[in-house]
Amino acid sequence: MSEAPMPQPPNARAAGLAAFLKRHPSVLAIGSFVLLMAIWELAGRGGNPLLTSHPSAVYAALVKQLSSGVLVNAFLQSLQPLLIGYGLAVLLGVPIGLVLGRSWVIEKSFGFYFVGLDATPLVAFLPVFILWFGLHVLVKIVIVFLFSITPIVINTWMGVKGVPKTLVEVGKSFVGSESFITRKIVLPHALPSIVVGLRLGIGRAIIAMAVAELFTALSGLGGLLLKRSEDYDTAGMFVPAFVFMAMGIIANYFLAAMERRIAPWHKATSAGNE
Amino acid sequence: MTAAVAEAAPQPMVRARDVGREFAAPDGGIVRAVDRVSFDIAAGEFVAITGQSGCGKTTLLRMLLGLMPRTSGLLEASGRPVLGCEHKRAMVFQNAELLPWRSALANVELGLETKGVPSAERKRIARHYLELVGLSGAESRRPDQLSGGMRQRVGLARALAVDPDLLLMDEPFGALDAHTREGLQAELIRLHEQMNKTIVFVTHDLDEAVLLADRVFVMSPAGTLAEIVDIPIPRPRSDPELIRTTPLFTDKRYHIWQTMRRLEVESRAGAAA
Repeated sequence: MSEAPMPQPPNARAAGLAAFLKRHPSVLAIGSFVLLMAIWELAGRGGNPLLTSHPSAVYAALVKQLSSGVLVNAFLQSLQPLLIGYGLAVLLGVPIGLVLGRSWVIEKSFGFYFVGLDATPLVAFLPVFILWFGLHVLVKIVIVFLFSITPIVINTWMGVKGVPKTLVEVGKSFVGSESFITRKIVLPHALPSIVVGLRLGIGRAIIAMAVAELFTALSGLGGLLLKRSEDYDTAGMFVPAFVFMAMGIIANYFLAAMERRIAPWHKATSAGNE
Repeated sequence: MTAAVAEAAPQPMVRARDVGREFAAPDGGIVRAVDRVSFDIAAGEFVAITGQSGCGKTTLLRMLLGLMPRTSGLLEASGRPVLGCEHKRAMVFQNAELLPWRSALANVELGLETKGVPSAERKRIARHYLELVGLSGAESRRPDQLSGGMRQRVGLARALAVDPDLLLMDEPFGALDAHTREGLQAELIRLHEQMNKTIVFVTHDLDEAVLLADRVFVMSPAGTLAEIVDIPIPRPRSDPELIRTTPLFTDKRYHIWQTMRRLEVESRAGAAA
């Protein structure tokens, strides 16, 4: 009798499932994704292939574009201006933000340009940029740079402004030079905010690249997308669009991981979503 | 000959003559935070500055440190005019103000970095001072992994590590619970008597002022130095609990309390007039 299994309370199975999901939350995300794809597949199959598509058709288009090499070629054409434009935005944006945050005179003299630039729908200036910089790599670099520099500048600037005055005074009281205080106190304290700027910046950079390529319509993933659309190849249009999406997700993931590594103390002082 | 003169009249660690600090008020007028304050502090002395909030005690401390320039008067420390921050003076801040991304050890190293001490030597000195404040086991912990009392000990070690002549403390135990505060007070008495540092300690806690100091400076709400009270409790003051019960302690505490009460009434009367 004592060997018999204990009778399970009625909701024990539900509790066991909840515990399993808590340990493997990715099961929920994968389940939701599979479900969404299944619905799309079923709903899309019946539709007109000129107007709609569905996952298996998109997959077939992906294989075709990969094997012909057009996708890799377009991807590399997009990646080059993206990296150059974003790289320049980081290299210039962080120091500009630092100076804006540290110097009152410079902040009041130049800060509003970046706030204004950030609020400007730069897309409206695209025709002018094309006039000045042509239709090739240069115009893409300029647009990526201008789109992505403002969140980097503004978040660095605000991060520097958020450094407690007393911590700067600690540096001064121990006879730290302006450069010592900037490197050892201001920069590390502003780092979480700077990384947020870098994340927003890369998102903007990818949007900028897509917009520039759709406008210039010659090269890169945006160019490929337009070419597919001219051929009424709806499934083929989804492929570069999803590559744009994947680029954004991957870039964001790496910067989020970087943030956790760079500022472990920050997590301890800011509230989570528990 | 100069040595003989110096021996005859030892130089005070701090010499203040008519030191004042004025601020521009938002209404366009002038606020005198510290008003013509004069005093000497001898080497090795422990001075507590007390007074109501807003009486200028922290302003005076910041001028002593060299963090804030005075607007009038003469102020010397270690025989030289105070013109800015120097390694001869170090501050323990109100809320410790440690760098949150640094370990306890690296926090203590801060002042040694600006002093140009090489890395290995820095670590050795920082370890020594962490041990002195009773934190040898917590070297690698970050401030968010330390209690409030431990953070303040790190702040104290950071200030002591640069080996200053003058240690300035700005209500360092004000935010701590009573039990932790008493522990740190006893520790500070021990360190002071052992290291013979000159200490200027700002506090609004009269118990703390009388227990720790050789002299208590009472500031008026108008920013003047209203009274200097000698506290002739003998050193070493190794049993704070016992000292608190002595008539000398309670008399001095009551005297300072009365003085502050009188100053407050006078300042209200002055404001009304």
